[in-house]
Amino acid sequence: MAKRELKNIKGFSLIELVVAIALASVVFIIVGSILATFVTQNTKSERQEMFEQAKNDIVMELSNNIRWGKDFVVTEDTLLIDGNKYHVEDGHFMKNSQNLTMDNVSVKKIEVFNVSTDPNLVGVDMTLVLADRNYPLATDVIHLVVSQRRTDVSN
Amino acid sequence: MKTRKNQKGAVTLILVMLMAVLIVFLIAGWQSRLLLSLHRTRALSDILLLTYHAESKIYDILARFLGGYPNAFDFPFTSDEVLPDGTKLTTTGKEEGNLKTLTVTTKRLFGTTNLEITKEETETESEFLHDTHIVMSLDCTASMGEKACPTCSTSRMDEQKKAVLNFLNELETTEGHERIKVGISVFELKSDWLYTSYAADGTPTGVAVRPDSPLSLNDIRSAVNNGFGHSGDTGSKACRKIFTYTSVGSGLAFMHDYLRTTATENLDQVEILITDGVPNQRIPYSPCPENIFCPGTPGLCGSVPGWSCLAGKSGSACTPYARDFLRCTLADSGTNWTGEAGAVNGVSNTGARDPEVDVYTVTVLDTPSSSGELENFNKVTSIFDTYSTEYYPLSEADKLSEKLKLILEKIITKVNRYQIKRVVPTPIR
Repeated sequence: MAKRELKNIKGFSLIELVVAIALASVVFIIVGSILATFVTQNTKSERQEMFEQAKNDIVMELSNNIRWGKDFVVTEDTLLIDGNKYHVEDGHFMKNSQNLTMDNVSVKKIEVFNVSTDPNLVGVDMTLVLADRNYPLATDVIHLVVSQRRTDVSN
Repeated sequence: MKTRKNQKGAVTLILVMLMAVLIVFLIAGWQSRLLLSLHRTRALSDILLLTYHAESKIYDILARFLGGYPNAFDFPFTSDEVLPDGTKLTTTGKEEGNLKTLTVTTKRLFGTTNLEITKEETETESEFLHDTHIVMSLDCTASMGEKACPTCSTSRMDEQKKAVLNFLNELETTEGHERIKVGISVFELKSDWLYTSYAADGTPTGVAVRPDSPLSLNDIRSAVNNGFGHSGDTGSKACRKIFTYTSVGSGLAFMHDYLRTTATENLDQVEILITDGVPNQRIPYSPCPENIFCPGTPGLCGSVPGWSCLAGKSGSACTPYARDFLRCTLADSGTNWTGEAGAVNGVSNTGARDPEVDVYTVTVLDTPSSSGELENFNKVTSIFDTYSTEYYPLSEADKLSEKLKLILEKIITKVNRYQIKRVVPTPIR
């Protein structure tokens, strides 16, 4: 009786199992690849956005203040505008003691030149090399050239 | 059997839904990140455009002021415009006393930029006083020997001399006067500098009183006292070598030629001309047509080395030429003047004066004795009034001192300061 009942229960054949496993593998490989691509792309774009954000913040801050600043002191790694000191400290781009860059971005290198040919006006040529603190091989460069505007004129 | 099939279908459905939810989340996350990145790029490009447009406008306004168009704006005003790239640009102007303020606001979806320019006419302060060269051209004609006024005991020449000396004294009391240099020239037919000393026949033996000569105000005062007598023409040493009759344009042309050679970017240049007569002759001067020698008396034809008269171009025929010469030398190169009948005759020309050089003119014209003289006076005063920077008509020479004092005040207070600054909008709380 018991033997008969077992015979009546239909199972999966070996071929069915192999086909199912193969199909499942294909599906998992495809989904896995897509997920891996998403994750990689996501990391890349996150890093790119991080650099973009840092660049925007620094470019906006400096370009406005260089344009309309009055008193300048330009040394090779420091820029002093109207008493505000822009410099790099512990890999952070600082305005006085305020950090202008996010914690996951570090500034590896800073170079500042006065490229103006007019002795009365300053033209700043600044290069900053940014790096990802979690993956230091990923870098980006900010190259900023801004001139001080002539704001006092008399005739 | 049926139940098991239903179970399989439910599991498949749940799996598909899970996959769909996962994909939706991934796409949504990806898209929001994409949008954020797009907005960030857009914001930066907006700010660049805003800055560019606001700066362009503000320096355009500055150029209008510096270019000599002080009335380009009718204060107070507000003007709005939409630029071709969609930027909204608003300019507002307000005036409080000597202070004019123009604010330029540019707006786009992701930003606003405010720039402000202020124009202030400051009082005399040495630190703002510019290096200035003032050249005077004084009338040396014979009529300068006439009485300064009906009740005066002094001559016009005496009053002119006194006015110049007072001008120099006044200048000396001005803070920062070291930056203002004075030159003095004279005119009749020709024009020349006043010199510090002369031979008895009027031949210069000293140093020319030019702004670039190393002369102190005392030296210039001595030169004035020495060079001018009680009357013009042969009555003053400074006037003996420049022939006779009146060519006012010669005095102006002489000053223009000198100032053109010494012009520099940060140097203000001013001309002051004093005359008691109406022009009745002209000299050859290429910037001013017709480029001829036309003396007020035929006796001068052949008397002036290098210049000869054309047939019929002497005596009273020269009066219209003399007025056209005055128009041409007084008008600046950005202004047109039209020649009158009998001379340049309806032809439009530009002036010979550098528009950066201000010219202040003073005439001493007594009451006309005939309708013809009145007409002539009116033509001449109209020319001075139209083409001078400032014109001061006088009927009596004893008022010359106060007019020159007024001119000095105009020159040394005419310092405009322009300041441009970025206005950071106050955040709305």
